[in-house]
Amino acid sequence: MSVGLDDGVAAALAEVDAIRRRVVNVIGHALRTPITTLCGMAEALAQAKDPVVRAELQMAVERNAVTVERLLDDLLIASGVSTALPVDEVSLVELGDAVWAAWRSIDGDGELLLEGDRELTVSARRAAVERALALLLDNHAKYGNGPIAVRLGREGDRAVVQVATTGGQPAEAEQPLIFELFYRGEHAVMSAAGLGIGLPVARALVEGEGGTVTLEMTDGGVVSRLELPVITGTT
Amino acid sequence: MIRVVVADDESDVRLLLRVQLERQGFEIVGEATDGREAIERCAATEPDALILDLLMPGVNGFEAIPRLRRDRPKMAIVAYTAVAGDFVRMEMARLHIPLLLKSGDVTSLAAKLRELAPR
Repeated sequence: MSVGLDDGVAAALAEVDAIRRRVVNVIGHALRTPITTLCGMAEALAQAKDPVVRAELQMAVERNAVTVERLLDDLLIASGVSTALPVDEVSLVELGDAVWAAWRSIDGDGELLLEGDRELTVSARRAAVERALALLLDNHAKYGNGPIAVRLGREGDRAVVQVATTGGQPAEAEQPLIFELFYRGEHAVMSAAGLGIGLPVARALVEGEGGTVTLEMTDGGVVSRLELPVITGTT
Repeated sequence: MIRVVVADDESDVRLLLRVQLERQGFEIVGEATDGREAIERCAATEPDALILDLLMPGVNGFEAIPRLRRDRPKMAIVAYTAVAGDFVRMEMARLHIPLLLKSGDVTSLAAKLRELAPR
């Protein structure tokens, strides 16, 4: 006697299996570049005699080790593991400083234009704000065109950071999925390796600080919008 | 000496390839961060071979290949990528471009360059 699965259960299992394959595939590919680079750097460092080359390689090893560490932290945050969330104390964070710190942390190659109220201040965990900003800036650097325009402003009791680039719009059918874990649109897949967790992790980090992260499609571009409760008394 | 251009949006991948391949006797004559720059560097330096990442922002490797082939039909192209699903494999097979997965060890890459662009 054969025991058959109900069609609905079979379909659900097939879907879970497809998701599992997609997640493993995405993680494997995202880790491949920094880890193979680390392996190569270790070997190259052992052979290198020129002090200038050695210094270049040592810095590159550090960068790639940090990349792997951040990928793992982002994965844990994305999966809801709270121990990976920043644990620094809540402090006053000037958003202008936070934007530049985030930009430096991703070694942004392109041009960043910051305008608006640079002294706009929020009360939050600095690490969470900077990491969320870094994830948004990284998205725009990877998938947008031209300089990244960041505008700081206040709307009512909210501090608002808008990050904008031209191009890189996900297709209309993909837009409802962009905050889904491990979802990568066609443009993203063809442009760069990645986990498809940047936006959901940024959102989780900012929601932990009482704020929101949203994405808006503009005429020919994309604007990421991060909002946090503003400190009373700041401009 | 085989003259090579490296096109990859990851600066550390370019650094590693430069260090490792120069030690193996290759000359890295140019670096590019996307497909458009790869086309420009190849036109300017006339290399024997191009190491081409496929997934890059802006003009990606797939999009650059037709122009690279048209401009420099004799230049060897090796696709060098972290991602090689069915689509990538089929596309590279269709275009007769060898495909190598990124690795910390460039032995296979060096051998492929010597095979395709002997000097």
